[in-house]
Amino acid sequence: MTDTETIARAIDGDETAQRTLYETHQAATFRLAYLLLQNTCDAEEVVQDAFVYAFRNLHRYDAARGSFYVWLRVILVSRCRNKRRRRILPSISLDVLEATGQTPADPKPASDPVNVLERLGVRRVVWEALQQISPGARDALILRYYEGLPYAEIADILGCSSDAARSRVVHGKAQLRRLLTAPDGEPIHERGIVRPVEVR
Amino acid sequence: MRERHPREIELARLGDRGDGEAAGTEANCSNPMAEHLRWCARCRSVVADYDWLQEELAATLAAAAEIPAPRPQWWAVRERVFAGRRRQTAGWRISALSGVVLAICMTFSAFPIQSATVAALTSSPEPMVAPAPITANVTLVATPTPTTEMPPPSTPAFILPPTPPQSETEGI
Repeated sequence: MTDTETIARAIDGDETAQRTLYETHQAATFRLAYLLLQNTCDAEEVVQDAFVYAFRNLHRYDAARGSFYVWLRVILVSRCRNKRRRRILPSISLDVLEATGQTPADPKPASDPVNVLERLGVRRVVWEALQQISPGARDALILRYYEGLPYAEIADILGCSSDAARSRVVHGKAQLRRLLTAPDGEPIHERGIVRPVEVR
Repeated sequence: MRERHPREIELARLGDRGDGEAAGTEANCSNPMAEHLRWCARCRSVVADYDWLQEELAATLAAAAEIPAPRPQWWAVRERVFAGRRRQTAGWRISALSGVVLAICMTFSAFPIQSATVAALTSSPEPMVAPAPITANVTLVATPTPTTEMPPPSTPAFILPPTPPQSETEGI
């Protein structure tokens, strides 16, 4: 069954087709949501929201404008941005949690990005620097360098012009370079292993 | 030759290949910029930083995304999708039902007035019939009034006061 057939059947209310769509795209959407939110729980919630919205509004999907994943990604990124805006409660650091005499349920969950990045050495620093740049620039960088999207598509997703999308990417990279540059001004590409920098 | 160093943003833009642009720094920069980069080691270093950063960023994001995705929970999505549909259907039913009930209530409340009006409008008037000619003499018989014997009044109810005598010269 092709993607078009699956979607047509899903629009008609075929539960099996909807389930196929969900299981096909769930992992990819989760990973993108995770990169955008840096939180597995939030990512899971947002992915579920995006699928629920997509299935309720499947009749609005226009195959001429792109694949189902492209449409779903627009919904997902929008939900991620809303989620980030609605985060009322600040996240609690492990130090604070330990200071209050509590322990996290699972101190090193498998999905903890730091655990993943520990194995990768230097990239942990890049990841941490990425958390410190402005959300708009980070979203654009993720869509550009993880999803590999052209600026026109990034612009569609972020609701801005292509020039603005490119500008966000460029400014994001400039912010990252400033964060990763050592105080002595040593070029980061020569240093190889970048040092962690303080939050400015 | 460019006398001033380009801004950092311009250098950052250099390393980034726009859509459909050829790869490499040379293709992305104007001639004065290329000329500047040829002799300025500092700016070349910044551009090299951005190239490095771009590669590292892509690798970091790819690595960070390699987290195990949670199990697909179709039942949770299904529940929410169908719950929404149920709510929607129930909403439609309730609104339709309330509309019907409202219509019935309005019909019944307006029924007495309406029925009277309708009856008045639709009922055909009685045919006008000319009075029948008098064919027989009708004798009028006075009904006797019952007589009651009233006792004679002991004192007159009203007594006219005596009038003074008129003088003879009064009319002169």
